[in-house]
Amino acid sequence: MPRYELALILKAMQRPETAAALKRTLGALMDRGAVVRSLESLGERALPYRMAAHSQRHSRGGYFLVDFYAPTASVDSIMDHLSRDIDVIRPNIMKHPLTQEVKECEGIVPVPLEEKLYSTKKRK
Amino acid sequence: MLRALNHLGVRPPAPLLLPARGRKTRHDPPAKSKVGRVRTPPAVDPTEFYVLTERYRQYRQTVRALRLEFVSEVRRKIKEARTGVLAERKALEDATEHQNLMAWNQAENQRLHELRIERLRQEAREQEQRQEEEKARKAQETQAWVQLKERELLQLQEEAKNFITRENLDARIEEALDSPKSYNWAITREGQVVRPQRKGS
Repeated sequence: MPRYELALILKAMQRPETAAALKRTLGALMDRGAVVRSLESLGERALPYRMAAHSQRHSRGGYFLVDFYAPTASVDSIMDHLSRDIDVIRPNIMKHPLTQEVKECEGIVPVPLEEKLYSTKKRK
Repeated sequence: MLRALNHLGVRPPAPLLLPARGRKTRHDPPAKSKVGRVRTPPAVDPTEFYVLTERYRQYRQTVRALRLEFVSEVRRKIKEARTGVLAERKALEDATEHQNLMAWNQAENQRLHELRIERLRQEAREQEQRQEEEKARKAQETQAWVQLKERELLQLQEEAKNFITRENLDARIEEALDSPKSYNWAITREGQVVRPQRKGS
């Protein structure tokens, strides 16, 4: 099963409610056949911009990072479930960055600016 | 003879009347005034005639003799070239040379054939060697792959002890909420970790 990362932004709530929301979320993940590897909290922070979710505007949120293994077919259903949860401001599932290949950086490629000076389009 | 007379400056006797078709074509009947006209051929001087015929006869005889002589020489030469002694010798030499060349060609072919067979055997041997090397390398690679996968599996099994399950769900959630992590740091070229200063909430 490929490894995914869920970048979760939860509503700014009290600790027990946040814990309940997390429990609910992780339970939903495990129900859909995911194996949760670890859960990290990035703290409750001010959001970079005001976000609207479920007819509410938020300016603070709790950032959480869940990396888990899941079957590819269930990612859609997980996203669907998370988008319906009212405590979740913004769910994002992506492939886990640690599974990507480390490509060597070639550096800055020099661009020939003289060619870009004049347009090469054929004019009638 | 006439040319000789011309050189002396004497004019030859011109005939009195020359026949020419004037008004009438050849199909018109001759005129009444020409009835009973008898055509007389020009007079022949016997001596002149005799001299002329004799000279012509001698001339033509000489010329014919020369011509026959030349013709026979040419034909003899052709026959000589085709079936003479020299031609036979040349044909014999050509045949022997041809046989020699064919034999040499055959020998060359044989030699090259052997060389080729040797080369093909060598190539086959090299090919087999390369294939064996390839097989060995592949086997080694597959073995390395298998070992890598085994190691990964073991590592995963080790890590699986730390996964979140329904039993330790609450505990892990509390633990995560207690310790917030921050990825907002940078590293200098000397290897020093730089974190943001407290700028307020």
